[in-house]
Amino acid sequence: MNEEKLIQEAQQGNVAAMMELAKYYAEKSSGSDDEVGDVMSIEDFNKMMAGMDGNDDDEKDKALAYKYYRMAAEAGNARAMAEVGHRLYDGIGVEKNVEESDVWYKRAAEAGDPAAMRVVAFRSDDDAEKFKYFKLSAELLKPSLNKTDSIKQTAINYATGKGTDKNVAKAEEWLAKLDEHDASSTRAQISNLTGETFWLEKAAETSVDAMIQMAERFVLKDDFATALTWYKKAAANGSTDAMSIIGDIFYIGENGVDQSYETAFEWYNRAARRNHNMAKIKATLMIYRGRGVKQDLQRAFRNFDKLSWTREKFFGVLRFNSVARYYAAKMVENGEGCDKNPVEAVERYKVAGGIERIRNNESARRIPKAIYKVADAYFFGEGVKQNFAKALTFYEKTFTDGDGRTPYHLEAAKKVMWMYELGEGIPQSPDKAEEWRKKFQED
Amino acid sequence: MKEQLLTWAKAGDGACMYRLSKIYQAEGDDKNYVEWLKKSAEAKTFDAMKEFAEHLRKYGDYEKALAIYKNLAETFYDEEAMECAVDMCTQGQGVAKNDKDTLNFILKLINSRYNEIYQINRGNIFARMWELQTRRHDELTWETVQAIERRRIAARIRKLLAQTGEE
Repeated sequence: MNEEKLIQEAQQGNVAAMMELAKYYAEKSSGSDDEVGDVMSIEDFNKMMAGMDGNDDDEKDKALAYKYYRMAAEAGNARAMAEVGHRLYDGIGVEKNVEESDVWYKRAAEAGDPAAMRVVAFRSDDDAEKFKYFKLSAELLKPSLNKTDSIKQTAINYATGKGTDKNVAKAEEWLAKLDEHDASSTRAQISNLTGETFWLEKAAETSVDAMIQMAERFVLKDDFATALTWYKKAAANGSTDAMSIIGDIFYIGENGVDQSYETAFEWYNRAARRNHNMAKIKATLMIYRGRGVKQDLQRAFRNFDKLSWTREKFFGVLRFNSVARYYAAKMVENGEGCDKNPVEAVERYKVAGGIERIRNNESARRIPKAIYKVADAYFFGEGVKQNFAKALTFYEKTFTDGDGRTPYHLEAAKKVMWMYELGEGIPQSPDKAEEWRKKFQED
Repeated sequence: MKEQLLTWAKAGDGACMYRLSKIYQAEGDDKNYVEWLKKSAEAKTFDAMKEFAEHLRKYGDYEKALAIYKNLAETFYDEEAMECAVDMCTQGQGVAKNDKDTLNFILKLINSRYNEIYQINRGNIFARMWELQTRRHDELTWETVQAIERRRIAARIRKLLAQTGEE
């Protein structure tokens, strides 16, 4: 590319040259010309991170990209207008200015840029304008540019009569352009917005997700007998979540349903056989407690032990299952269904308490009860060598990780206070004892 | 160990009192077992409170047992304690049979918690989560399992209250 020549042409009013230059500077400053799936080396990564320092060259390139987009936009190029809007909105190469960004996006939309139309549609407060641009962008956007949202919104506007006349047939026409999953979720959304159940009922003819949503509507009305029929439909269509929930309904004995531990166990078992981990936990708890089935501690222990390696999502992060880990540790501590083994119990509590990591440096989520057990083990020298300093650390951790409603929370605070007060195994400290007394009293 | 525990227990540690009581129990010394269990429960040791309540109930001291269960339910939202309190109500132990005040007391405690287990992926869960000062637990096995137990006890209470026409 001959940069100087392009600059000259751009200055003479050549819009194509302006656009080429703008794209060139934009790519140069972002450095993101890789495709998703490309192999990225550590050198690439380091380069990319170094580029995040906001060095002067980058900022200059961003400013130049903005300059040429702006020139092209002022010369009437719709794509350039949208780029100016985007850069003003995010403050790229120019000072952030949302109001001016809106103006440019609108001009781009009016000049026929479908991506800008979608942005205007989302940001507009005017229902008619929203509808106009959702529909136009749905018609004009290439499939690769995520036109699904525009199609969904167009269908929703026809179905709800927002920004246009309500027209169920036209809504259906637009829904037909979506895949089954998107169509069902949009129908459910329409149903929520209009209060018209037929949208969801129609989706529920084929969509398991919609069947579950139908069930949930009756759950909200506390009509579990009807909810159950929908959950059963979803279960018949293979939903293991529905099977597990049916188990819950019978286990609890929700309104309108006779409680039956036996039936609950059957449904948990069905879901568990299809590898539903939560159902496996629930069924094992029933075996442990002897509800709906004969109590079998050996089997319960074996199950909890195996389930200890399954994961649960804790705020988006996969962790080893907390319930299985805690119960397995507790059973080893008490010799329930297995040999009593204080050493192994402490090891298990350490993992259940998130104190020790296992396998590929993974951990379970922290259960304060388990941390307290570890603290006790160090204090009394059970399963580990007695170590008051470690005991103190873990008693403190039990307190900080839990709240006033957690069993052992206050006991842990009391214990710390008591240890400082008497200097039991640690240097006596009336000040720290007082500090912990206050914490204990505040809780 | 026993001597050491005795020293610590006398110095006021509830957990040591409880462990000491268990040693006396294993030795068949019921008098000292109950004495230290009681002291430990009075020192608000969680395990001791549960065991002492069970002991009191077994020997017919229903009112005190029920008071401890209610305390455990109120302080820790302990599902086992809630269940025991409801059991005692149904059997008229320490209170009139199906005593509505006790049943409503436990039901109120349960209702103050976040017990949703069905609408797991829908609606404004996060808003409700903060409102109820709890976490979203469709992802949390521990909390889900506890919520299921609370719902089960609540359903049982509602049915009992409906039977007596007191809901």
